[in-house]
Amino acid sequence: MRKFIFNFIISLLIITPLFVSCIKEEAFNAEADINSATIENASRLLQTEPIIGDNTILFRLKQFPDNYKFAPQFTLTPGATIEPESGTELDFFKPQQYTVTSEDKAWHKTYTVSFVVDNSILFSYSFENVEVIVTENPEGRFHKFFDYLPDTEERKEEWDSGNVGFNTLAATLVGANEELTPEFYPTAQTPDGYIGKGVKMQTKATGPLGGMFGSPLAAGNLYLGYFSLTVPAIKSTRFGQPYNYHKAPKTVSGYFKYKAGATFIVNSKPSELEKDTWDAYAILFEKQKDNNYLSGDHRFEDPRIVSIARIGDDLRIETDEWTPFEILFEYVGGKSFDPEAEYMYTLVFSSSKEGDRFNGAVGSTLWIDEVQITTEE
Amino acid sequence: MQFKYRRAIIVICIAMFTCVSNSNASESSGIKYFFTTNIDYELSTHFSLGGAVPLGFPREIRKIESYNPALQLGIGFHATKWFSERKDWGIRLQVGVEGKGMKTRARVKNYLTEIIQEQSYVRGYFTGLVETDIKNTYFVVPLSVVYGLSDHVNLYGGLRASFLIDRGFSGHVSDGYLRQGTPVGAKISFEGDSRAAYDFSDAVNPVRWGTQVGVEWALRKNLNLFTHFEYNFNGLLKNDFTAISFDMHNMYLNIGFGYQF
Repeated sequence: MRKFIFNFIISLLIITPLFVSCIKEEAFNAEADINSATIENASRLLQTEPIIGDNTILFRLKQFPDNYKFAPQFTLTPGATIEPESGTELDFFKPQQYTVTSEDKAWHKTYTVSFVVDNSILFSYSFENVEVIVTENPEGRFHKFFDYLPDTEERKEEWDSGNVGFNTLAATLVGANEELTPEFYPTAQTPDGYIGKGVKMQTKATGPLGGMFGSPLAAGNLYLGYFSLTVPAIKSTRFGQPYNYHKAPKTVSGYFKYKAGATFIVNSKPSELEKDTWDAYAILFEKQKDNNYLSGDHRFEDPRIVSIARIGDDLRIETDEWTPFEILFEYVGGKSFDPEAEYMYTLVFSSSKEGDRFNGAVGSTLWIDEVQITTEE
Repeated sequence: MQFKYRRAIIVICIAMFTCVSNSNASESSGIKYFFTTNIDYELSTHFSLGGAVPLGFPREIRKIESYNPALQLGIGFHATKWFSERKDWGIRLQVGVEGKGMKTRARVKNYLTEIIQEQSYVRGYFTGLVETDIKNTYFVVPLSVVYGLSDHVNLYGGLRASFLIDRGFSGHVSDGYLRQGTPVGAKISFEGDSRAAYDFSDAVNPVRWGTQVGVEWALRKNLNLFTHFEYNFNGLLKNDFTAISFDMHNMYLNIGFGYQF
C-alpha cells in the first residue's frame, strides 16, 4: 500500500510541471520602435546623441552643414521593418517621415526625423510661443513651449515639462464638470505674463493611480531639456541643452509670482519644509559621450556639474505681484570654465521645491516671465 | 447566483432523501437511526498544493520564473452515509475551512491589462516581470459519492461549493515597460528596481463551483490518509475584471489525515 501511495504522489508531481511547461510559442513582436539612431561621423557633427521620443527623432548639428543630405541608421524592435530603409540618404532640409511596421505586421508607427542646427544660445525668454500637443491614446491636450531664433522663423525647441507624464492620467483625472484643456495640466502658458504671455506652473494631484506609478504628486515645472516617460517618474525629466557660448554664464534673472497650496503633504521623508515653496535654478555641466542630461534626482551632486545658480530663501516668498529675481552662478568642486570645452546647461523652474521627492501642496502655483541670462565679459 | 444556490439545495435534499428512504427500506425508522447506523464521521486536516492556473497558457506568458505553493491548510468535518452494511456505496457531505493560494513570478510580453482605481484607469500592454501573491480562505461544502474499493481503500468524487471568507490577490510589476493604449503607444519604462504594485483582492470571485476526485486509505482503525484533486469550474476572479485577460482556475492537490469515529 505504501508503494501505491508513493507511486500516486510521484505521478501527480510529474503531471504538475507539465502544466508549467505548456508555455506557448512566443508571438511575433507587436511593437514598432526605433531604439537607436546614428549617422556617420556622429561625434564630429552632432552636439549630443540624437533624442529619441515616442515618435520623433531629433539630430542636433553643431554647425550649419554644406547640405542636409544624411543617411541615418536605425535599430528597431526585433523583427520590425522600416520604410524608407535604414541607411537611405535623404534630404533633411525639411523633416522626413519613416514608417516602422511591427514583426506581426499588425501595428505601425510613423516617426518624424529632423536635423536642426543647435549652435546658438538664446539669452532671453519671454514664453510667448506654445505648441498645443493633442494626443489620442490617451486623450490629452497640453502646451509645449518653444522660441524663435532672433529675427527668423526658425524654431528652437529646448523647453520641456512634466506634461507628457501627467497626460498619461489627465483624461481620467479631469472632473465631471471640467474640460480637458491645457490649463488643467501642471504647466501651461498664461495670457497674463509680466510682459505679454508667461508660464504658469501648478502642483497637481495625480489620483489613486499616480501613487501606483510612483508619482503621488505632480509639481508644475519647466526646464531646458526633454522628457522621457519612465518609472520612477523622477527619471523622466532630463535636464540639459547644449551650451553654445564661449563665455561662462554669470546670472539668471526674471520675474515671478508664487502662491503656496493649502496643505503640505510629505510623501518621502524627511522634508525640510512645513509649507510649500518654489524653486528655480540653473546648472552648467560638462558634456560627455552619451546620456548628456541630469535626471530629476540629481540632487546637485552629479560630478559633471561646473557651476550652479539657485534662488535662496530670501526669494522663497509668496507674492501676487510680479517680483524680480536675480541669481548668480557659483562654481562648485573647484571647477572653472574652459572656453575650449563643451558644456551642457539647464534652467529649471518648479512650483514645489521638493517636488522631485513628491513633497508639496496641491495647488501651489508659480508664475514666471521674462527670463534673461547674462555671461562673463 | 440565486439559481446556483437553488441547485445546491436541491442536490443536498435529494441526497438526504435517498439516504433516509434507504434506511427506511432496510429497518426501523427514525432520525436517530439514520444518524447512528452505517454512518461514519471524520474530522480531518489537509494541506493543498496547486494554484490558480490559466487553462492553456496564453502566449503573453513567456516564462514562469518561480512558483511557490506556500502553506495552504484546511480543516473539515464530514459524514459518510453508507447505503448498506457492506459499505460499498455511500454519500458524503463535508463542511470545512480551507486556505488556497500561491506565489508566482512570471515574465510576460505584450500583456493587455487595464488597471482601474476609482475613476482613474490606465490601459496598456505590459512587458516585464509580474509577481503575484494569492491567499484566499474559503468555507467549503463538498458533496461526494463514495465507493468502497476494499476494506481499507475508498474512492470518492463529487461536487463542491466554496464561499470566500478572506481574500488576497496582490502583487507588483517591474523590470519592464507599459505601452499605453496600443503596442505602439506611449512607452512608460520601469527603470532599475522600481515597481508598480497592484491589489485586485476586491475582484476575487466570492462563490466557486468545483469538483473533487480522490482516494483515501485506512492506515489504522481510526486514522485515514487521503488525497484528492480539486478543480474549480468558474474563474478565480470575477468575470467583469479586465486587468487580467485570461481566466484563472483553481486546481489543487490536497493531501491530509483524518480521524474517523
